[in-house]
Amino acid sequence: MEQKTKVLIVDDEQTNIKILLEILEFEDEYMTTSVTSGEECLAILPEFKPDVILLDIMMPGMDGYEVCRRIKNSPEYEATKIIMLSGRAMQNEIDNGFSAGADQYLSKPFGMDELLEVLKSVEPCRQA
Amino acid sequence: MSKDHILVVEDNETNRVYLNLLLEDTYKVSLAENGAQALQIAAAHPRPQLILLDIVMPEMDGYEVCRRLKENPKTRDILVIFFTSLLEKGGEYKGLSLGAIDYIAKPVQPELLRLRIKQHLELLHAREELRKALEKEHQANLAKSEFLANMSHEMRTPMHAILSYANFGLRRIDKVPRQKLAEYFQEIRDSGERLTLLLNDLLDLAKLEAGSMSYAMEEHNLTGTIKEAVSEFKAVAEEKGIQLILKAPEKPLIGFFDEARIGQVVRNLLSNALKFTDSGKIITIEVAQDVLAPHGPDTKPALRFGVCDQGMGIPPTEIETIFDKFIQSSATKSGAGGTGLGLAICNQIIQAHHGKIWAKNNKNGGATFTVLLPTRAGISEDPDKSGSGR
Repeated sequence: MEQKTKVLIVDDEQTNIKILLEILEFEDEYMTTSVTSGEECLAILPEFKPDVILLDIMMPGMDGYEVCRRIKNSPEYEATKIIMLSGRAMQNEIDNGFSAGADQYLSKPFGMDELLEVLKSVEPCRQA
Repeated sequence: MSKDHILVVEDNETNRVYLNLLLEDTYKVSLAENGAQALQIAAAHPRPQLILLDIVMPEMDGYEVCRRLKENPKTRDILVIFFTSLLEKGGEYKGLSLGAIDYIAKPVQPELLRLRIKQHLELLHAREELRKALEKEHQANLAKSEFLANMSHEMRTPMHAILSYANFGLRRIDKVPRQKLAEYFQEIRDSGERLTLLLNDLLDLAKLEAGSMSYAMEEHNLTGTIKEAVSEFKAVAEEKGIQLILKAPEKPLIGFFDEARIGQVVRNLLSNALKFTDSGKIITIEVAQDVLAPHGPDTKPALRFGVCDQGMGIPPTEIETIFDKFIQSSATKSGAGGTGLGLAICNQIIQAHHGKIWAKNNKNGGATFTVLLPTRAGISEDPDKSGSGR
């Protein structure tokens, strides 16, 4: 049987986490877990070993850019894909996201199809 | 207002003394006998507003002094008036093009000189006021833009939730159990309620701003009003593992206020305290008899209530601005939610009651918000402030 894709959700807003979980858990292809800060995200990495991280940008404490940079700078998480989520679709935010090493970018509000599509777009790389 | 400061630069001592005599009644006067000294005084504090500058001086002439003054960002804005007996052809043009605002020929006519100085300074002050007003306007605009950005962020989250759960329901109506559908409806309702609260806050503030909020001023027992609000928060506090303690004297504390509005203030302060306090901590609400200004001359009888939390406290730079509308504590911005309107609304309500509201950080962590409300006697002692609450 095909292994489920492990998705880590990082968002300080509980409402957003619940929505993301609702979308992913219905699909039966994903194994999900969530944390509410960048610090928690880094802490849970070695244990959870996500394939994909859905990473909010604006968070108290360490923001999404910094989290992204740190993950992308550690060789053991080379294969981990990061999808940045942001409330504002400003071009400079998108650029900052990519220059921090993000693989994809999704601006809120997004529909569930959009999210699933973006997830699919990063997944095949995992098996390669 | 403090006196304007004029620097007289003149190598001839007799002239210097004469000008000093002429001006010292109206202005603070500094004297310099050469260019180097002039530049030094001009750059030091307090800076002069205006410089009377002789042109013909040994070593550094007036033109050079002016050029250097205008080069230095610190002294660039000081008004320069040349005064000279040098009837050099093109001298006036040269002086004015260096940035001086006037050029006066010696011998000086005292009344004319004084008038000119007075008018130049008046213009300077008018310009200064205009600059300040523009700066204030600019700040207000920045705060408004920030507020709009906050609002749109605050509205986007519940909006996003409503749309998402409605979509889940539509798409999965035949695929999920009824219980799941009920959950979706619940989420839609919760987010709708959150949006309503937000809009109510906005509407309240708009009314308060316009002065069109009416107050039903009556005598009530403040302890009762506070008890009622506190009891509404019992369940939430328990859920978060926070203890609410109410300290109030046995006898009723009769104040003169609009019960609904003061209740709103109490709820707002409690909800803030709960937002910033962690599990296992205590929030203390105290009610007591007091006077309006315990350390000042304004000792009108008043009631005091305070909400003291053990949360993260308020960044010291924000203690003063936390009640301004559109201003939100950086701590709040970073995730605890809110519109930045709650405390502005509290402030407006308390002002309308002729009371006071302030915040301060506790020595051992957390913050205390205190409100002073004058009693009926406290209000009627002041004939300008009777009863209407407006």
